[in-house]
Amino acid sequence: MPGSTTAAGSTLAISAGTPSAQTAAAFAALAFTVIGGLDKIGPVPSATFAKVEFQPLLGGKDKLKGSADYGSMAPSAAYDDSDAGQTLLRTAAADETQKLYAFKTTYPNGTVVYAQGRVFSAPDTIEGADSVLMTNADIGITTKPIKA
Amino acid sequence: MKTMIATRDFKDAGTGRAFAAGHPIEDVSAAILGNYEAAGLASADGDTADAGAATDAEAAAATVDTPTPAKRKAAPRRRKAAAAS
Repeated sequence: MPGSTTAAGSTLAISAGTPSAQTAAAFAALAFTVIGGLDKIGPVPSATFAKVEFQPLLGGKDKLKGSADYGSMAPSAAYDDSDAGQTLLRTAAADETQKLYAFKTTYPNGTVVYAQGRVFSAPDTIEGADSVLMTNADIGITTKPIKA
Repeated sequence: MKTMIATRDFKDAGTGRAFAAGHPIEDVSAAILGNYEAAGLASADGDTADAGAATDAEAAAATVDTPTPAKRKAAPRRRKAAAAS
């Protein structure tokens, strides 16, 4: 299929900086640190709207768009405490303030999605002896994603 | 721009660069340094909060009074056996 691609080569990067505006240019001006060792990024930030239904007396059911939810990301990575991006991710998870961190998801074709959010957890997971020690994060996206 | 020191060995997957603990982080933009500093990987003096706590513990231990060494007991005097009278 023309235009299709695998996920190989995708990256997720994090920044402790704050964009001056919610624009692609403002996000692009930030310095992002790639999170190394990822095997999965999960859902890329996008808007999901609450569905508000209204059934008029006359006619079919109307469905209206309610409040927006920009979703969550669930990246998983092979634990590496020497990786700067993973360390910043863990720092963001341990952050007890409401500070927003910026995230940049890059597709293999160069498409970029920017958004801000908070890292709610990044626990390490130890499974069986023949498995890799993993870090799995839960990132709540709070700003409208910007695709560039 | 002030020189930032790596607080521990770390690497940046995006740039492919690696940094050694205690060494200056050079040829890195201030913005990227900001990320490293936020992660505790770089500081102006090379100390992380954890390392600072360790040095504080060492300093606290250094102020604890150390017991004075025990005095060596004097060797008992040998008394010559009284001459047989």
